[in-house]
Amino acid sequence: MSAPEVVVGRAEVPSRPHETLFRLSVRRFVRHRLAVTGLIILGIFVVLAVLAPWVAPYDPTKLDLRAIRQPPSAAHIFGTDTVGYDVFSRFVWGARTSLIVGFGAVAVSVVIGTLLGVVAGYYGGWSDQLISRVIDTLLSMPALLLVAVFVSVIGPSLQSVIIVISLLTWPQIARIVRGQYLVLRESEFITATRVIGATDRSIMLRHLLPNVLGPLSVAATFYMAMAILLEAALSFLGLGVKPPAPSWGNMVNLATNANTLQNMPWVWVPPAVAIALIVLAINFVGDGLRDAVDPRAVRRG
Amino acid sequence: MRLRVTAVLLTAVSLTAITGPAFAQSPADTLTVTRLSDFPTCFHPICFQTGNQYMNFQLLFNSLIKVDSDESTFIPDLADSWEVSPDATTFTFKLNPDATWQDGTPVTADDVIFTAATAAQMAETYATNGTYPIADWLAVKGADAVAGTSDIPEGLVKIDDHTVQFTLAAPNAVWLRNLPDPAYMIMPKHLLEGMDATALQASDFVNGKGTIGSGPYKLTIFTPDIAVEYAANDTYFKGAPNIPKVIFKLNVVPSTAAAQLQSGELDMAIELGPGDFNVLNGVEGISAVNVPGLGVQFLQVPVTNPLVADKRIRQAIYYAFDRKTLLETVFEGAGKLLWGPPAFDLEDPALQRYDFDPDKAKELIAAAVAEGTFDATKPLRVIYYPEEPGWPEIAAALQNDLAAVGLNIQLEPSDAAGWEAKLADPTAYEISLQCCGSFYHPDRNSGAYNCVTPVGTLYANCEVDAVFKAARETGDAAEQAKDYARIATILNEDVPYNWLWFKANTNANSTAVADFEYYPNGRETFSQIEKWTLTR
Amino acid sequence: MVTYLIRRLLISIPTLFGITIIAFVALAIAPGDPLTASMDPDQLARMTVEQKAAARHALGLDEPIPVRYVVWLGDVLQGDLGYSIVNRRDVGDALSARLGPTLLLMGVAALLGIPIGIGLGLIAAVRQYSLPDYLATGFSTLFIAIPGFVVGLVLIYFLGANLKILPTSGMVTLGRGFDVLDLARHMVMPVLLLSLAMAAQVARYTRTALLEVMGSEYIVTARSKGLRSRRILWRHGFRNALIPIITVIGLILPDLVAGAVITESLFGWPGMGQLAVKAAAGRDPSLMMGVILVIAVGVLLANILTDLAYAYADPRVRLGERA
Repeated sequence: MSAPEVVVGRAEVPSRPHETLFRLSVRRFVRHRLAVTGLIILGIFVVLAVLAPWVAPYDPTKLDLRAIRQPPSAAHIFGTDTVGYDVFSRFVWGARTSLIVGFGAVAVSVVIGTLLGVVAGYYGGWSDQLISRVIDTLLSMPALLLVAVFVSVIGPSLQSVIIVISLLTWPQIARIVRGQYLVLRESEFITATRVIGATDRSIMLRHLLPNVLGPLSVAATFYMAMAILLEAALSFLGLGVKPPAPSWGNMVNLATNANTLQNMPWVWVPPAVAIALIVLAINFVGDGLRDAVDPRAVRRG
Repeated sequence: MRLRVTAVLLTAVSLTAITGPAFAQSPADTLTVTRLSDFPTCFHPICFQTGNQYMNFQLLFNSLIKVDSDESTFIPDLADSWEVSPDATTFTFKLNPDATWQDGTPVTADDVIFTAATAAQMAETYATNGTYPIADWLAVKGADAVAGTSDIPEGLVKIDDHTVQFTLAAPNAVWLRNLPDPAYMIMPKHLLEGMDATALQASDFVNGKGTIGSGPYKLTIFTPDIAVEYAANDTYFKGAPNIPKVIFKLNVVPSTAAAQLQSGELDMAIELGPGDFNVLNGVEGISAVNVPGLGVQFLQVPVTNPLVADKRIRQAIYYAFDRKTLLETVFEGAGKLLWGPPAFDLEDPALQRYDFDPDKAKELIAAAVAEGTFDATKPLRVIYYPEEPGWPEIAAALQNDLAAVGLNIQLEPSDAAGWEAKLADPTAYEISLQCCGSFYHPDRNSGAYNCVTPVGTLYANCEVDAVFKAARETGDAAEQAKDYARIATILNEDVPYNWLWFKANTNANSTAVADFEYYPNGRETFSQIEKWTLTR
Repeated sequence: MVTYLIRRLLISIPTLFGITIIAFVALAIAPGDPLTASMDPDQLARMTVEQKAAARHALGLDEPIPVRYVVWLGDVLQGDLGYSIVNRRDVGDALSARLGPTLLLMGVAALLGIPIGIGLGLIAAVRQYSLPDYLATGFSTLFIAIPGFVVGLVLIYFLGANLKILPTSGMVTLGRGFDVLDLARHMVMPVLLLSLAMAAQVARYTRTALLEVMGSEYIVTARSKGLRSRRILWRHGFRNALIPIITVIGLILPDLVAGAVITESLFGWPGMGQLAVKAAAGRDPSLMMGVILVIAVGVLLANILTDLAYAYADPRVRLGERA
């Protein structure tokens, strides 16, 4: 085994920090084959989801009682399920739901987590103590209980799933952001900036935030994958998006019926495979992002 | 390298030791049964709330009389003969002198009187516990007078050690048919006397430690959430059971019940879920059947809710919902279509069948809108919880069908607790999916109609109440038939409930179990368990 | 060290309070209550409004929330965890019956899963971009990607129902006396599912952490000094990679007490996870609070343990300082 090739230092010294660093990261990302594959797969699903109304041959919530339990055929490419829904149409619209859950939950938790993490990390003191205690409390709560009670209060729906997943993930994001801010605020270039007379707000936003974007984007991709998986798990427990609204989670959940599991694989295998694919894709993209953004990463070939 | 080889060998050896035949199957002398549902820790009618308790009580205790699997022929139980007075007011039971409690004490009239009297005395507790109704005990003359006291109702008379006479406050032709219900099973006086409701519910007897009954099986071990284990009562007065042990398995998940039957961990499962029949049908060593049941799928419409107060809207819903096709396709015909209250004679040609007729539905809606009694812009909220077998399908089909006639349906699934909370408020929903019950006789419907304190759909019609009462009290079969026909006509017109169909139950068992029959009321299947055989 | 521990424990107390208050309030405002959740709907339909109100009163459910919380707190501090309405059992009994099975299941799964995960991560990091790496990484990402209950169901129906080589539910075969081999057989499938899932998670973290460490400058320096790879890896690299590994183990630790809801449900394993779901579904306040209390204590203890492990792994981390 040959010794690892090491990138020592950076070849270019960026003069305008944001742009060149970005291009550098992009270049490094593109070299990561799996990450690019992941991005392509993700892209396909996004396109599918966006074009759902045109791609889906049937209304996903319209059932046809005369055509139930049919295996894949010309009329229904993924067959029909036990109620007469066209599986392919639900699959395509389900992609939309899953991606909305993924992007939505991550967006909300990133916004909340970053906000609170910045405040806690930058100002320190009692605001840090308070926010850290809240984070600890939320992280100590058995996730399932939070979810179960919350969903039972506001009813299971797309919105409740997004809210619940964000509730579970914002503390982790806040921790990451807070950690970065705590370390970086003492660093020299920040002290220099302060000496110049920059305001707290500008330091927080213009100077420190970009440094957080790296680990943050990596975390965001992983939590997005987790959100999509969580939606399926919630459906198993009866707390996810409920039919007739289509979601991959409630489609896979049909496998809990022994007859569907064994005799009607066309109903649950496509969404299960799709979830696995999209989670893999997101994870690869996340790997690529991490390698691209982290200057210490070992690269080879 | 050597390490790896050793590791692989070690894994292979241990796996072989762990897997292999005869690993977890029900032992040869044990019948392992389950019914999917909850089981609260309670072995007494005072906290009898669930179908699983129903089944377990059948193993432990006896009623005065039971019914055969046709749900109408009486068979003797603790009483080996009985007389009914012509006016259906006085019932005299002669107890089987061989009947004993599992600790050897004979079962006597004292136990019967004790059971009926204490139930009347503690009626308040029974009601707040939401138990299976004890209406029969409360129908005894003087029963309301003894509530909260320790007196015996005057209608309960001990003729001799083995003869008991019940005199009711009013004639009741249905009284006898209700007796097989475990709510009326006879409890041992010598073990429970002197305890008030609180002490009773805290006692070891009620909590599964040392519970003694008179039934075919003795409770050996109760492990909450795991299983209830029984051993045969060899001195059972109807003959020692053939199967030495029975284990009632708790906590079985619907999605793996069929797997457990196939793997041999279960010998019998009552009331399996949808689709399990397809999985188990034709599997070697397993027999799966769909048994026509006594439970009903129906829609409950709160008649005090202004949106659905006009009966034409309720009728429109009935016409618009193609329940026949739904039953035939999604539920594969496992059920019997209804268009009126269950157990009534619905063949009367004067009754409206509510066959699928979307045009008629639209007509009715239009008429209601024209008169201003229905606001078509408001959504009709349908509440249910998707974990109940069949409900997601019914809800989806309902939404489709009603949308086709212009009704705006909003499905509101929640979990079981949330659903029941909404049920309590008639302004919180317009349609609710409901299920089950045990309709072996038209009078079983009467509990849902109370014009003084309305329940359920909150439909209040004092004529219906009066006719139900008259039907109960008349000894004349022809009179009774006319009364029920009258009720059927009224309810068929007003449709406070949209009755969909009688459900069939999917039951399955290992072919090792024989000499038994499934009851239409699935929970009653253990009624004659002492006759069953198990051959492996 | 001792002062740190004491301080941590003291700080944990308000957190514990916070958790219980949030949980209590959340449960109290959720629609439905134990009364309605535990009964057959037929029975419920026959109860009049007055009867239901009386039942609620008997259960103490009509007091205002703060009053109920204080009552509960008072009972707990005297050692009484209350009465589970849904199960009709003492909460303490219910919890102690469930804690053992959960610790057993999760403990065995962790003992298998964590070392396997670390091993896989090691292989993947050391032999990066080669076949073993792809296999190990592929396996771990796949196991994170597939919804666990699907794998579980397939296992149950394939191995249990069709091939009939393993039992599909429960802890032991009912009706037989206790038999360790019987218990082991019942554990195979759930442990397999759980440990593979844990291994997958740990493997990813380990691989990432090791890669980062291996690329860091002092490793490069050590190599250039001529130290053999394996030695570098173990003495310098691994110790530093320990921190994120400890992090992920720390995330898994609370599950040892909380149980795995999905796995326990599927395999009928009578554990804490299943109890938690039942408590939530049944809106049973005492039971739910009991479960939360146990789990919260477990989590807080796990946090403290993790911090101690950090201190041991990296002497630069000085406990008590926030960095």
